[in-house]
Amino acid sequence: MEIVVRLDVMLARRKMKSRHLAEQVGITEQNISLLKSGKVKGIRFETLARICEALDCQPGDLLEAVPEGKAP
Amino acid sequence: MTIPRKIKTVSHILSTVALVALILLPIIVAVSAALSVLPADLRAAAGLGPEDQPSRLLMLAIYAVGAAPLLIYLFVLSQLRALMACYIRGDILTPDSAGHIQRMGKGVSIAAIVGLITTPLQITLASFALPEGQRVLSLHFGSADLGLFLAGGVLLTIGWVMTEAAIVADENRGFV
Repeated sequence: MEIVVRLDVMLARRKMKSRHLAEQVGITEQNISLLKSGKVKGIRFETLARICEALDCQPGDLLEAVPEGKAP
Repeated sequence: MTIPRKIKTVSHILSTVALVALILLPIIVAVSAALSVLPADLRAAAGLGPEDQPSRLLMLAIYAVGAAPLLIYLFVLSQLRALMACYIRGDILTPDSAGHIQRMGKGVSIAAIVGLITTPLQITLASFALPEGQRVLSLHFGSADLGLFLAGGVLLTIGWVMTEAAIVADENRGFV
């Protein structure tokens, strides 16, 4: 299984720009971009909690486990 | 990565000192060799009096033997400069900087071992300025030699540890 990040979907639903989310969460816009594209090794719980607070969502709305090779 | 200002400041200072040493050391040795000046400690160890002066050929041999540890020290100084350049850029926990520390450690350790061979050889060569029967073969291992060997070993070990730290840091960098 691999973990897919659905951050772009949540950003679109909440009509929020990456830059605005980055400011609220306290990380760089570059890191938001890396997170959206799944090019990170992991996410700290603190960062995940801040993103959920900013987007008013649950971790399950952002992260999805899919079988290997099935990720978009 | 944002690093404390003191690291950059001290790195600048050490880099400059290393550069000055890199330039001055070869010049001093070259001038001394050209002027056939025998260092005072070598002169004393060989038991030479003020009027005893090794021949030009002997002086060249003494300086040629001394070139080995000098070249190693120059290599260590160049690695020190490269390491400080990494720190000034903010690359403190990287495989690059760890590699420089390891090479410095290897250099210092090898210099310590080479010095155990070259110094007695230089003393013996210098003593050839004395008549037969008064020449010297001296072997010496003092606290300075032990300190140098330990410093080299410690640097090498820290270099290995920093390689592991660089792996952990790289892992951390992958987390947001």
